[in-house]
Amino acid sequence: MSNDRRFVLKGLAAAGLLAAMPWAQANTSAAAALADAAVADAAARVTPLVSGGALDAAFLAGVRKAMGQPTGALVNPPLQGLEAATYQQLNQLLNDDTPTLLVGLLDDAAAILVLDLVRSAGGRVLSVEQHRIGQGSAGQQWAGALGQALVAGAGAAVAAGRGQENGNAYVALRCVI
Amino acid sequence: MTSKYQALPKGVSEARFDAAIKKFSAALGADQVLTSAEHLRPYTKVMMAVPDARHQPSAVVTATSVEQVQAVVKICNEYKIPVWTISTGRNFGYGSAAPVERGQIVLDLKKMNKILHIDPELCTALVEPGVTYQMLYDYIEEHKLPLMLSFSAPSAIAGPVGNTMDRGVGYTPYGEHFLMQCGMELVLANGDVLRTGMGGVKGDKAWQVFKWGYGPTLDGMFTQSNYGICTKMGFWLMPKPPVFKPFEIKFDHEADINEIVEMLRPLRIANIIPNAVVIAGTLWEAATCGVRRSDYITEPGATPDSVLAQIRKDKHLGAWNVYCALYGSPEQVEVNWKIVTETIKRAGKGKIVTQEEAGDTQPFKYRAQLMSGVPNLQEFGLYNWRGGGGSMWFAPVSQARGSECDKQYALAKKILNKHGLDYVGEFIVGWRDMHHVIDVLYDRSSEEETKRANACFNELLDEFEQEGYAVYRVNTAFQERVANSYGPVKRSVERKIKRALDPNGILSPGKSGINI
Repeated sequence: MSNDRRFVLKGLAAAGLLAAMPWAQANTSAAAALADAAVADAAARVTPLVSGGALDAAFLAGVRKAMGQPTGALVNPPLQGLEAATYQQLNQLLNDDTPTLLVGLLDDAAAILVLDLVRSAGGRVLSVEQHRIGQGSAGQQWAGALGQALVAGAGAAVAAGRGQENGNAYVALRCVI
Repeated sequence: MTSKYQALPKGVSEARFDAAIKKFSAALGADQVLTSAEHLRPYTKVMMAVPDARHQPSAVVTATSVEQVQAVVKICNEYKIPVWTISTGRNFGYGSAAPVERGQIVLDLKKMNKILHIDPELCTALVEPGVTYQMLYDYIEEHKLPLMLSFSAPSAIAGPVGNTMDRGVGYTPYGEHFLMQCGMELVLANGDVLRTGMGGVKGDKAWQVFKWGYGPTLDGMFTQSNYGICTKMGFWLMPKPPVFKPFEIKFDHEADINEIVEMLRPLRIANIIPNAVVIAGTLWEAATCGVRRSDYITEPGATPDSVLAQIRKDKHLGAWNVYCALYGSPEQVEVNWKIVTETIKRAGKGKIVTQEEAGDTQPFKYRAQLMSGVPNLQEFGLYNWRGGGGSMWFAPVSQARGSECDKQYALAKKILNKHGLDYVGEFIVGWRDMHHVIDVLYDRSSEEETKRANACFNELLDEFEQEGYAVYRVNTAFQERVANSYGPVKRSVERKIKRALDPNGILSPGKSGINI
């Protein structure tokens, strides 16, 4: 996709015009297609976010798998925690003009910061879900599936972790910036 | 009835809202008008124990200039659209970026983010609402200005206009932020632009140095209110002192709070200790240095005292942890340090920890940063104590007396524990007052716990009011309730002012319980 097209798509998405422009209802299917195209475009550049939890490795493995990079480093390395350096890095990412899909498995502190920075940058929050997950093998499996699902845009695996009262709290999020 | 919008303003039809949106787009540019679920979702994310839907905005508009703010106000009057204004929208403990009532549009001033002026000699600043403390800090560092900021704990991403307009506090000698505010520019509901203090005088240069102007001083009525939209604000900056000496005093027992306050108050009033001293409880400290409840216990409910004792032991925390700092020339700091250490020695309890002893350990490090105007995000660790995204700040004020703090602490802990929640609190010592700040943390992903948290917050408000206490600030879900604490006459006066200044009631209706 050309840079111009990417820019236009991102601009349209940022303006909220792709799916919600009230006086353009006659063309909603075209708008939805454009919105999907914008997400697909962003999906070419995925940045995973983690916050130093026990499920990070499994989640990142799932992201790699979904991106067809089952081993080795991700094209965009994960942002971890929210120390000053991460905050700066995320801000840079939010303010460049390249569409990016952010997928995250974060603790509450990091999630609230990320979501708010995405909001301020005019980004789109496609999904955000609270989960409680144990640290055993079931949790690892869940995190891997979540990583894949968030990159692919599927929701089923995302919902799978709800309702484990004694697990650790996590926030799963998927945003286009 | 379904709508293509996420919500509609109260009493406004979809067709009418369509027309308003079209006008907003024409006035601001289509890219500054957002209505999609994906864009509105982060504006709807609240931490309060009420459904998100109650605070769902209908649209978000952004403005880049005073003229655009005037245009928004004009359209809102024409179509009777209520508009909730945010600066950076990082008022996390008190409602985040979401509007007080469902259907209001959000006017986000994040793009009005110019640092208009910093005077390093007079130590003043004039900024727009979207300026964050991090931006100011970077500017001061880049230009090597001998100035120091004061900010609240979300420092890096919050901003001085929003914090001051909500009468937030910081941790330096300039920590009472509204006290340090000097000059505002406000867009009123009829589109007029008001400058307070000396700001209305043509050619005047004293706008940021003389607060009072002539006649009634109006600045205060625009804080925690909905009488105007602040588009510029001046404030005073502290000269960076040659010596900054942070220290902590740890106390072993919860019952020590009375003596701590009695010991510190004279030092604070006399400005021996000039900053807004913090007296933090165990769990506040633990959470901000990375401890999670699940590290110690998985059973639901209030965390037992035995666990608190274990955390103190493991993390070397006090039951109360007092943070103060001395500022000034070497001679001044030496004299005041002698007074402080002798006072503590006389008290016979309390262990002093200096910066040299603490090194880079948390939470000392971030506390020292807050007291010296260095932004950080460490206090967000609070949200991981229980996890689940629930947080409501309960902030009653009291006299700075030991007996009052003792009473408030006991009452708060009893009510919180009754509802299966923890006392995660701190006292911030003003000159003569105490801001008692308690973060009511709960798992918002649990419907049952959310109900308990809501009941707990109501009981805290009710029981404290019975004892003659009220909060100085509250999240948007409880603003109507708290307005009643301050009595019917005040509410009546506020309503009369609202009707006079904003007859259509378009500016943040419901803010602090104020409506036409």
